[in-house]
Amino acid sequence: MSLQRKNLGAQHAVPFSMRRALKWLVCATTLTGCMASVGESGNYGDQLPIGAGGSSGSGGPGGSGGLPVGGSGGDVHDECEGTPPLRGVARFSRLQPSLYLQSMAELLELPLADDGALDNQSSIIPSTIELEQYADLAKGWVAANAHERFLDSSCPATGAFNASCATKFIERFGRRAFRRPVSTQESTKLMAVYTQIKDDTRFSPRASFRMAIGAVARVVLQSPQTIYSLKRGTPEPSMGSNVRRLSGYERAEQLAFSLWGSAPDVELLDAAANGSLDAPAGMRVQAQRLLNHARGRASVRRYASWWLRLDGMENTLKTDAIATPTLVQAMIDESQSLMETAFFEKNQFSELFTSTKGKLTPELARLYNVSMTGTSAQTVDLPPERQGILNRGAFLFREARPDVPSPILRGVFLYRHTLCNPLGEPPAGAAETEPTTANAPRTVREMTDQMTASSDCAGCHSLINPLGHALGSFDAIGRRSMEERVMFNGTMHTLPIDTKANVLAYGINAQVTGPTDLATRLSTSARAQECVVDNLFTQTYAHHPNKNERCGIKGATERFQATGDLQAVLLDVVTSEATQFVEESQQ
Amino acid sequence: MKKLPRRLVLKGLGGALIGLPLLESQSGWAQARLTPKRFVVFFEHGGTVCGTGVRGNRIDGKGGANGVDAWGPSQQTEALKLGTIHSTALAGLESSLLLTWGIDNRAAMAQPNPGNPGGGHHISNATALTAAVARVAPGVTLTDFGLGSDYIVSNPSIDGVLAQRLKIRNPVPYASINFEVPFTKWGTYGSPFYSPHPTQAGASIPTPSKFNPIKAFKDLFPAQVVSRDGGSTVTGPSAQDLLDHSVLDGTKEMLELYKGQVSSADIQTIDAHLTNLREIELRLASLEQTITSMPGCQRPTVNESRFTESSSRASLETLGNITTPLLVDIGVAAMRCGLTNVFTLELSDMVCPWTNPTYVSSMGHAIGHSSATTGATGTESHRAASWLSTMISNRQWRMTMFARILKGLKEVPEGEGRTMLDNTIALETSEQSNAGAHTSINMPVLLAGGKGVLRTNRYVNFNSRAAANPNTSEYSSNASLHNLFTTILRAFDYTDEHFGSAASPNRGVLSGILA
Repeated sequence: MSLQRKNLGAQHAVPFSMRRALKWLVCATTLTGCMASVGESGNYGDQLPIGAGGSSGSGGPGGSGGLPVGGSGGDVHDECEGTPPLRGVARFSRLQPSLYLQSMAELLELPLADDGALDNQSSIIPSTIELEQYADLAKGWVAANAHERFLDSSCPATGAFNASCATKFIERFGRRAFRRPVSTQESTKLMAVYTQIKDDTRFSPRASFRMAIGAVARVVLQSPQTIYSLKRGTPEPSMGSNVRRLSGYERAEQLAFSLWGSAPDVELLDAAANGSLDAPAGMRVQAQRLLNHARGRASVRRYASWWLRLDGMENTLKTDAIATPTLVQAMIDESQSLMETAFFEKNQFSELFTSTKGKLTPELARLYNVSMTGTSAQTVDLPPERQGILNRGAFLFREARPDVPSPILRGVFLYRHTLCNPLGEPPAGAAETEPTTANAPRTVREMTDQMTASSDCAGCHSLINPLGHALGSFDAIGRRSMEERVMFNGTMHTLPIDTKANVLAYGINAQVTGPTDLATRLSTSARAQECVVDNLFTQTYAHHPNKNERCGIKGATERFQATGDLQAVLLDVVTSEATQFVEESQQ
Repeated sequence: MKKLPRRLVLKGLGGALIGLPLLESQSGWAQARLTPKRFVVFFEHGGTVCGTGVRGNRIDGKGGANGVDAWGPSQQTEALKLGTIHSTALAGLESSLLLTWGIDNRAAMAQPNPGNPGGGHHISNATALTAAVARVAPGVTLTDFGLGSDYIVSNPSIDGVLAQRLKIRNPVPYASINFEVPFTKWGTYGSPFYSPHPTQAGASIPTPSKFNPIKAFKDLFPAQVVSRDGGSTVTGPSAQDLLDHSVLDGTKEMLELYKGQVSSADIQTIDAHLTNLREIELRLASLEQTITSMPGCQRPTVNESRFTESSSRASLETLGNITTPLLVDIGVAAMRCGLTNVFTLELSDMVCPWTNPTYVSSMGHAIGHSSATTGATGTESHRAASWLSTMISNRQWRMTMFARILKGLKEVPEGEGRTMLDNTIALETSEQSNAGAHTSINMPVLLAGGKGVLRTNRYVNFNSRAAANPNTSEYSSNASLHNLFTTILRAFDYTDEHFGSAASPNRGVLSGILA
């Protein structure tokens, strides 16, 4: 056999490494015990999980859990009767690097620092290297005098030492950095830094007011009050002895982190101060304001990347030279734009799976075989097979192997993250599954099904594979073709691609004819809508909703299923009372 | 009560730390004159060219896989005869080397490993220096080309353990200095380096590392620190020093205050945060004091215009040929200047753009993987020569960097006819043996230094089948990394009976390693 990678046009090439690549497919995603993870009352055997009782697992993207699968249309909400809708926010955490850097950039009105300026966290405890990074960042920001805009206009940085000016600076700058007012004790500590520098006779010449204020700012920027998030709450007797309600400032922080990926602005902090956020209506007003802001739109785009796992997509290995960095970026931008349009222009869930508009660059247009003029990205009409966000380059490229499409990866994503069906993890030893011997050329679909046909594999793969097969007309890069080229015994064969599949997922239980049909069914799937709520919650609160929390957003889910209003459901999730508490026992 | 001056307190702390070796000397450590003082790990990702099959057998190359062994010695004799990868770069250093064959990573082999049982990059990395139980971190999908740490590992790695212990014997500003040469696209599939968890016994956290040589240099050799080879002395702290110290003090005060706001469970986190801040402070203090005048301490030259102190990780990825020797020199200088006892350098699995011929990305995420396809009947047999040339030149280049470390240490005399290299143990290894086979059997392990402690100038083969026939293709071994790391701890005169996962049956030291 020889390597066939060039001049394949829109057809799939199944190169030399197909057997090895398919081994990887199975290695990565062979699944057993998928039903066992559903929950304590799940008992599905190898059957479709519809019709059985169950409770939620845990997970979310990257996890193994999913929504509960109810006995009649998934009506798990009956279980919510009498269930207290409690908590959901992280009580104590360190700001993720992107959140910290974005917050500081906006606080100081400086360009966003390189994301490499702060290591990805491996622990809530900052390492010495991370502490040095915080210190270096603070030093660099202060060197730009960016903090000095928080000085009162009557207190020039070049002026003489002035304790009153320093106190005001601490109050204003600290409030924004800490996302709440500076306490008296904190102010005293920070003033001590100021005073120490003012009085230190070792400075030659003596230190200046600007130097002292700069040092205070550096302390604030790397202080625990800035880099950690602590939700202490306030007593809430009506909710029981072990429950505390988030304070206004904690709600403000939660809202801003969720909808902006950044710290609260002055208006939001003021709303917290005047009690506006203590009432649901006040929360809603502020949440809508944040969502309408450019940062709100940016967060919706980030949601697309989170849901579709596009972060780091530029590092996805592909063997086809057509997979350039600019093409990958164009794919990401297209899917993010589609999500943004669905939220803000159409404000409709179905748009996610029915849109045939695409913001394309010329490079991406060529991949889609769509004609367009000009050299800059523009929104164009796409052929029907590109309907919806899952028939676009980003998802298809991401959920594929380096050189071949992956029905399993695509199926797992659809099953787990679009329909929120619970799914277990691959068993140990799955990797040793070798491609079965063939006496005739096979398509990726055929080889995948043969490799997963054993009793150990079929239970889960009968649920997973069909969803992926429905998208089988898209190759590893996201090109469309109804033919697959397969090298067998030294001869290249052209085989037809079959996208018809019997989908047996909870939410879609039907024979689908291909990607367009699948997208259309998803656009009307109540389960897919429920999954959107689940995903929005998971991204907002960094954990999969537990039973209580899911009950708490029951109303939001029902309203969303009735209206498809994306903005409304996002606002419902971020302002849900179910998430405005912490348990006192965790204090 | 009168508050003690901060510097006095720092000096006091330094004194307390410096006092510890005396206690240890009474327990016998200092009496072992040959006990190594330093530890180096040179970790190169992506395996090597060793012709090892999945079960440890030698691949004959007649089938689909390439069976070339460039890692092993040129002759199967106990007297060391370096092979293709090592012979040029390490020529002249044989008397300081100990090459092994047949040490398995049983920790990786014993654990579930979605993707590649016993040999996938992720689990192999997580266990290659820890020999520990590892589990996938929440939210991580191992089908991705992972960055950072993908596993939570129960135990720290051998370098992390020794960093902690050696700092007690010999207080230094940095318990360890950890550098990496990144290459994101093919990456590292997780880190092999883990430090003891700051608050949880029996747990570890990934060891962070630095990748920018300019930044690393400035951190380790601040301008105000006197060069200990007789360079000019800066008198008194600068205004910037005073500001830095005030900021550090203020941050610590804010942390102390914060402790009163968090729950009792979270106080540990803040305490660990404080501990790390204090470590930074102690470093500054010890650097300022320019404690001793060590022979051979010279600040390295870092005059580089192709990148800056703030250059990102991504921007340095194609400059590995520039950054690697700089990081080596800085690390060696740090050891020569007494800044640390432990130095680690991690080379990601680079498809080195500077090797000739340059291999194209279509060959896969590591050129090493092509050993699975460049055998006589392999699907890429026509590229065997090209693959081999690239692979070997890549690994040979890496070995020049390892040699650079060894030579840098060897230049420095440390009395009694010994050099700094003699008083150091260096370990060169990877997360796999044959990357094409994705196997954790027969790991590449090359030891150096440890004169009088290690049986150097030797080749030690733990393949029991080789006893009768040194050139056998069969393989059987009971040696594991558990044993290797236990042996290394013994070399440092620690009394550990075991290293790594507690349940492992691979206990005790390896024979033939210690002198």
